[in-house]
Amino acid sequence: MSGRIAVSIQVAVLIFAVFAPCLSAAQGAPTVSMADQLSAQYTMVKMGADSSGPAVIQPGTILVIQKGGILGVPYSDVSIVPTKYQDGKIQTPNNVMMKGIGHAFSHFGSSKQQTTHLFQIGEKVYPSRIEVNQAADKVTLGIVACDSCNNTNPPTYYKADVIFLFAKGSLANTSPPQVMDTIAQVFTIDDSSGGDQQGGNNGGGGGQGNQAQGGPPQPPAQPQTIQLGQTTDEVTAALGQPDKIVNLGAKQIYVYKDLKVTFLKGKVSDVQ
Amino acid sequence: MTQRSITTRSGAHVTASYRGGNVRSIQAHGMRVDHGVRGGRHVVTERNGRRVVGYGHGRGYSERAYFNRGGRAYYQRTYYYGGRRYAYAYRGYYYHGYRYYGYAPAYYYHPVYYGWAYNPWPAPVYYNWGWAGNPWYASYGYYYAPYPVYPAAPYWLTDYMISQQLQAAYEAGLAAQGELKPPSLLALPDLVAGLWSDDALIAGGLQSAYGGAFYAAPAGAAQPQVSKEVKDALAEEVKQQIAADKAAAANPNQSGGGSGDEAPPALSPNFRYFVVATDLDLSPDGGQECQLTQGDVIYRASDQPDNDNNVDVIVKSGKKDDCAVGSKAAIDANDLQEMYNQFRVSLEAGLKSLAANSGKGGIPTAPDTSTTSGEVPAPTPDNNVDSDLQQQQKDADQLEADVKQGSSGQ
Repeated sequence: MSGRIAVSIQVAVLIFAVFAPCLSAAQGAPTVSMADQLSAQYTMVKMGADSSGPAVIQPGTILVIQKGGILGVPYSDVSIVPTKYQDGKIQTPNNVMMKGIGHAFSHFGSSKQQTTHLFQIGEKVYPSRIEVNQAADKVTLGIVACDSCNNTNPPTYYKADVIFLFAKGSLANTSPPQVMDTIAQVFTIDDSSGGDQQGGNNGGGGGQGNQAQGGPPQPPAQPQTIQLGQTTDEVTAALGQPDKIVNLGAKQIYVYKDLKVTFLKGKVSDVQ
Repeated sequence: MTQRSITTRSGAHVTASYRGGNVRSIQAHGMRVDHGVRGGRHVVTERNGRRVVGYGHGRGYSERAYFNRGGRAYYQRTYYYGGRRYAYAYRGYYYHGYRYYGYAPAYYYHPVYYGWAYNPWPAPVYYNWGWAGNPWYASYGYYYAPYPVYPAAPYWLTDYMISQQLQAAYEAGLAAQGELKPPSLLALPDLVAGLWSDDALIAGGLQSAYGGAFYAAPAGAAQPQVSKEVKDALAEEVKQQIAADKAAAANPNQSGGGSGDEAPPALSPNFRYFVVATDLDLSPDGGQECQLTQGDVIYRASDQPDNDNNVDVIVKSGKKDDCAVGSKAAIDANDLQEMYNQFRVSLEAGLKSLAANSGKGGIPTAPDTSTTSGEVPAPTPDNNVDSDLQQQQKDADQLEADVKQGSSGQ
C-alpha cells in the first residue's frame, strides 16, 4: 500500500531565523509600493460597454459587504460622492450633498435623474480600483455591483467609492495586511464559491461570466456554478464545451477562457 | 482514520478525523488543524487573501500576494521566530492543475562570484566551523559531521545548509519542550564524553538524562548517519543550483518561468536529494507511521506525481526516533517543492556567509561579491504576523475545545 503523508508540525521557520538576519539588507532593491501590494490582493473588474450600456468584460474578486450605508450611483454617472469609513463606522454621504450633485447636473443642463442605491450588508461587489494617498492617510476602494452574484436583473452596475480614513500620519507606518484588515471590516473576500479568490492575477471572479456578454435585455441570467464532484457532462452542460482539453489519463483539465476545471477520474477535483 | 461531522456550539460545521481515539485533524471554515504523529500542532487559516501557517510556540508565517508582473503573481511570506520577522518572495504557478510556490530571489550576485563558488578551489581548505561545545552540535553529533576538508565551495555550502537545519531542529525541540537541556553538561562536552558506557542500561539512563548530548560524547563511538555519499549528492545539487543562479544572474529578466503549465524544480532530474525542512508524517509502505524532522534526507524515487499529486521517496538519512533509513513512502509533490524552496533560501544564506568569510579561515578570497536586483523587489516583513499567529492559536484552541465538546455530546 502506498504511504500517504500528512503535514504535521512545520518548524521550517527556524531555519529562516538562522539564515535571515543578513538577507533583507543585502538586496538594496526597490520595494513594492503600498498601492501595488494592495492591488495584488484583489483582481479588479474590467468594465466596458456594448450596445446596451456598461458591461463586465472581466470579472474581478468578489467582495461581500459587511457594513451597510455605502452609497452607490449608476455606472454612467461621472460623479461619485464617496462614502467614508473611519474608526469602525460608515459615514454615508448625506442628502444635502446628493441634492447638491443633482443641482449641479441640472445647472449644466443635464436632465438626468440621479438614482442612488445604498448597498446592503451581504451584497456582493467587485473592486474596480484602489488608490493610496499616504500624505492624506487615506485609501480609496472603488467598487461595482456584482449583479449576477446578487441576482439583480437587469443589471445595475451601481458603483461607489469608499474612502478608508486612517489616523493622521499613521498610514505610512501601517503595513499592507493592516490596511487589508481595515478594508475587510467593510468588504470581505467571498469564499463561498470555494475557489481561489485571492488576487495576484489568478483570475479571481467567478459566477459573472454571463455579465460579460452584455447585449439586450435577456431572461434572468443565473450564475453558473461548478461544484466539486460534478461530472464532465454536468460541467459542459453548465459552461459549454471547453476551449481545450488536457488529457493526462485519470486526470483531465478542461480549459475555458477564464477558467480551468480539473477532473480526477471524471469528477471535478479543482477549479481555478 | 475515522471522520466525523460535528456541529459546534456556535453552529459551525466542522469535520474531525480521528486515529486511535485522538483527533488528528479538524477542517473548519477557513481553518485546518493537524496534529502530527508526535502530537505537535500545525494550523493553517485562510482569510481575506491571507494564509497564516502556525507551528505553535509563536512561530509560523503569513502569506499574501504582494506583486504582479507580466501576468505572474508573486507572494510574500513573513516568517516570525524569536521576536523577529523575515520576508521572502515566491512565485505562484500551476503544474497539472496543482498550485505551487517557487522561491523568487530578490537579489543575485555577480556571475563571477557564482563561477568562483562553482569551480574547485586552488587548494583543499581545512575549515574549522567552531561548533564544538554548541548544544545543537552535541545533540546531533551522532548523526552528522562536517567534511574534514573542502575541495570546493559546494561541499562547504552543503555542510552550512545541513548544519543550519540541524541547529533549527534543535531550537525547535527546545521550544517544544519549553525548557533547556542541562546547560552545565552541554557546555562541557569532555565531561559528557567521560560518561560514555557500553552498558545498555547505563547508556539508556544517560541518554534519558542528557538527551542527544550523550551521543556526541565519544569520538568514533557512532558513525555519522549522513553518509559521504548522501552529502556528495547534495553537494552536486548545490553545484547545479549555483550554475542555474549564475545563468539567472546573467539574464535576470528571463527568470521566473513561463505562463503555462510549469514543472516544479523539485521534479527536475537535477534535484533528487532533499534535506527535510519541515516536519512531516510519513506512512511507509508496510510500516508504521513515522516522522521526518529537519535535517533528515530523502531521495525522490519517482519523476511524476500520481493522481493524488504524490511522488515516491526513500529515506536516506534519519535521526534517532525518525523514519528508518530505507523507508519508502509517498509524499505530496508540494511538500517536496517546499523543501526545494528552503534549499534555495539556505543556499542564498550560505553564499552570503561564504562571501563574508572569503579570505578567512583558509577560504580563498572571492571575487566581486556585490549583488544586483533579482527576480522581484525585496518584500518587506509584515509587522502584524506575530499578532496574526497569536490570534490563530487562540482560534485553534477554541476550535479544538468546541470539537471536543461536540464529540462528547454526540
